[in-house]
Amino acid sequence: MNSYLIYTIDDDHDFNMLLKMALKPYEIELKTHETVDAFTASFKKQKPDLCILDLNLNKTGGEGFQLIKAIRNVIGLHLPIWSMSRRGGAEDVQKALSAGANDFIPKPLDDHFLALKLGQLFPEHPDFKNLEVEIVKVEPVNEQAVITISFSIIEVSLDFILLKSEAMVGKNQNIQLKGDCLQEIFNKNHLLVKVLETQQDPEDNYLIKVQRNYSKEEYLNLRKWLFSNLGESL
Amino acid sequence: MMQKIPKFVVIQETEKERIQAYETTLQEHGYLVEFIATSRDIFSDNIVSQSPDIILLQTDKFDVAAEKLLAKKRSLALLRRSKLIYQVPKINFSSEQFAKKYDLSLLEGDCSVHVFFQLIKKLSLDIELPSFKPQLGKVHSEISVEITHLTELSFIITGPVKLASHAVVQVSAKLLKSLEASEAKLQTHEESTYLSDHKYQTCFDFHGLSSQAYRNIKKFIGKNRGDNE
Repeated sequence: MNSYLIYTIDDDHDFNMLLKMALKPYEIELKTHETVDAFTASFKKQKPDLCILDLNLNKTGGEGFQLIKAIRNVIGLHLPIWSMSRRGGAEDVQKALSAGANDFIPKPLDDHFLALKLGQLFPEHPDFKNLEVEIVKVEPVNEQAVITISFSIIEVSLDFILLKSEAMVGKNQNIQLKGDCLQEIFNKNHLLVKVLETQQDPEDNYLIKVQRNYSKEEYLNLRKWLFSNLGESL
Repeated sequence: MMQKIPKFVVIQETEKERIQAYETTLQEHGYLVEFIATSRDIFSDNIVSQSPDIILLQTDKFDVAAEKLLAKKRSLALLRRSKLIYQVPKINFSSEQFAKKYDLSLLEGDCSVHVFFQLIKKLSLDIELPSFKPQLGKVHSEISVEITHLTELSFIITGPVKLASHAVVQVSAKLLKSLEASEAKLQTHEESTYLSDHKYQTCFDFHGLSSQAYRNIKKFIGKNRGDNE
């Protein structure tokens, strides 16, 4: 079984005890720290699989944010960092995420929620596999949502536009593309296109070929743009 | 099946009846036609920049000045990919030499629109449709989906979109707003799974829920618990 190492830093000794008790049932190696110096010393010795940092160290307010930034600067983006705090307002949470945290755990500690989160992060860990997650149906009145998908235009020709995205849109779907860069080609910033075909590239992105029944004006604008870019290469 | 893309055809013609005949035949087959009276206008920057696929030139409207323009544009490669058709009353040695010099296809006499159409259909086969890999900004699209289930950690949507694993996507929904969960980072848990009728199911994990959003979600789950049974 994989043994996961977690470092925490919180200047509240009692909270650290509570955390140890909460994680006792699970095969997890937890190392708690009360000072930045102790945390840094451990970090230098061995890199953990997860860091959980209190945002309000030494009640100075803000040291946690700086520590997140410092860890990110040193080790990059690979190590998961969670912030934890009573300061759970949307603004503080956003600030922690902007500093480089991947997630936020609110205080007071909810043992079950923490275990669920760890199970989400370490899906291979057998201790978290059988935790019950309560799932509820959403009533039709609440179900409407819109997802915004981003696409890069990677190829433009007279008969198709090739898009790249993390999302694949079903064949024959009509989608409205929006973006200022369309202005450069079509003199308008939105374009209704139909999905012709899709395929996945080696990096798990989707290549989506779309087409449109152009109006005369759009088609001539497209030709003008295309040939001016191709220029002498023709 | 790929939809046929209109080819851009520029025709030197002024006669109303012939214009109508050309227009009917070509548009029916998806060609986009522009009628231009003078050779000077055909070789204008506005037309040349659109790189017409086919250009029909008529000998009676073609003079020395027009030839000079043609020579210049061909030498500058501006019209290199255009197929030029030169309509002459009678094909002879002189017209053949002229056609060879500027890479023109000859069309004899006062031919019918049908003959012209057959010729451009044949020429169209050789026309390459170039493509360009641009450095443009991003575009986006808003796609309607439905939130079907919710947990403390995640929510599930169904819709016509398949997402890769760990994709971070913006989801706007009244439900998320009312739970104050809109600002959390929403990341797909794994690749979407196919349901049916071009619809997929995707699970999004909440990352960075505020304390209030977390409480709201717990409350929502408690309130809707009965629906699950």
